[in-house]
Amino acid sequence: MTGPAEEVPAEARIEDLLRELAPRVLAAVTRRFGRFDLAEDAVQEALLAAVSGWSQDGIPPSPAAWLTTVAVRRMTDMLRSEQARRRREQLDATRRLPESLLGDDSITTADQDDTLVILFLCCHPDVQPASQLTLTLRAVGGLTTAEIARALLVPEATVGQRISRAKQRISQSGARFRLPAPEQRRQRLDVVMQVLYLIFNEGYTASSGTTLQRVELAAEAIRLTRMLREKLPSEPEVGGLLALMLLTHARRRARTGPTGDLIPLAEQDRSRWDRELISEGVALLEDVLPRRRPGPYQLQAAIAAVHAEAERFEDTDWAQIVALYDVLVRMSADPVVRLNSAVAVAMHRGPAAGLELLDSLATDPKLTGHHRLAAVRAHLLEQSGSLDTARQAYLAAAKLTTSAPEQRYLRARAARLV
Amino acid sequence: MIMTFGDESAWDTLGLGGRESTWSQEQVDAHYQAMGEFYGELAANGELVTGFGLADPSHTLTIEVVDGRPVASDGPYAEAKEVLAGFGIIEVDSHDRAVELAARFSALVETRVELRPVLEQGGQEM
Repeated sequence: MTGPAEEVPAEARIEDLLRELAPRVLAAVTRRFGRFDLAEDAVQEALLAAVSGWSQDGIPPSPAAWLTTVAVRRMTDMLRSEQARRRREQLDATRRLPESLLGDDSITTADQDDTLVILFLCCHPDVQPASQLTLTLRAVGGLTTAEIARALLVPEATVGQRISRAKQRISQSGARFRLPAPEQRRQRLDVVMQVLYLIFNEGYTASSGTTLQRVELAAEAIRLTRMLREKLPSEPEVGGLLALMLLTHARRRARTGPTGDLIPLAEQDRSRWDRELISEGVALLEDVLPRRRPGPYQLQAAIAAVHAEAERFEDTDWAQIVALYDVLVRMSADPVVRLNSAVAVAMHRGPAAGLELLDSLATDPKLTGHHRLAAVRAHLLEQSGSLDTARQAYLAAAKLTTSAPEQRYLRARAARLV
Repeated sequence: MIMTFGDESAWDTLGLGGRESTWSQEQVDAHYQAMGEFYGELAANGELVTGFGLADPSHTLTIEVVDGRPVASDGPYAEAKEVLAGFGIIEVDSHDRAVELAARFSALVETRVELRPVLEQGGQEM
């Protein structure tokens, strides 16, 4: 408890507390009053009120109850105006409920974890990935619309639209406040993990804009994945995803130069890698891999761990990496995985073998026009000594990417070959 | 059964509506104190069966089954200005005692109340 005599709490402490409470308060309000769509808006407003109120008056004795009271008031106010508007405009207020309600679709949600329920709801498969990501950041992560807009480098209005569209789809789908049925849970968990990984990657390689790394989003993805891992400790892929994020995040300081330019793995100063994150990631892998339920995240994390073990780039155990990619390619239809696998093969058996694999990938519609295909080709051509073709490939790749640091990097590589 | 009625302002007085209470904190505290004492007295002498206040009417969900499928609409059904705000179910020895308690209840909530007998199991019994 914080009395008025204590000093005003630091803003960071308030923010940490709010972001931890956000999904729990949202769940409490939704459980009691339904209307997830309005409840989510109301909680967001309560969080904003808390940010300004608490930094002046201190954290109230029972922060969750404070937030719930304010959120319910806001929700009541929204419902009142919505109903008044419907009456005024004589709109049809009826909505259809799932027919299964009259069948055997009875539910018990007593022992379900609230934050997990909210997370699965936000990652509803009927919702577009960009909207899943945005809604997750707000409803589960407790970020404000403005913070999300800054992190994603999109206008606030876009964030607002994505969130309301997502919530509309969720209510149309007839989804109810509970975890997916056991037979759907694995598939739904895959979507949840995809969304978390998307948040991480969005933070790690900005898909557009001028700053290559936006650490906050990556850190947020790690925080949420840690939470998921705590709640589902027996799911090895969740551990694999967390390990993959930690091992990738460990390289963040070495990944960009002083001017924000991209430094490729081969040239990174490995003394700048975060050893603490690496040991945590490796320890996680040592926990999940022996369970013999491998999956794409565990394998990608294992590959990242092999890189982490090499003191210098020249020491990399490429044979092991190629072996891991062989398993991964069989498991994942993702063409980017096959692209990375071609890089590993080139490192292990030489650029010619890698280029051969690239040719087989060039027809994949998901990769046509992808700057990474062109960039990898350029690197392999350079290694094989075809400098002129390599230069053209670098320039082609630069044209295809929207990330300014990547463009600068690719143009610089091309310029070196003149 | 004693039922109380009100419009939006009834919830707003106590801060249970869409904004902070329109009454002062002292008034709100005094109200809860008095209600608590009233219910406490009835609980102690065995006359209280149960009693609840209801959430703001905007949280009402009207549900009916149309053509075999459930349909919902938000808000209370009628255009009625006043809706059910709360109820108490009492079990007393006489109608006179029920009227007496209803009158005290009405004074406490500062609004009209309705008193109606609950049907005995198996319908009307004399």
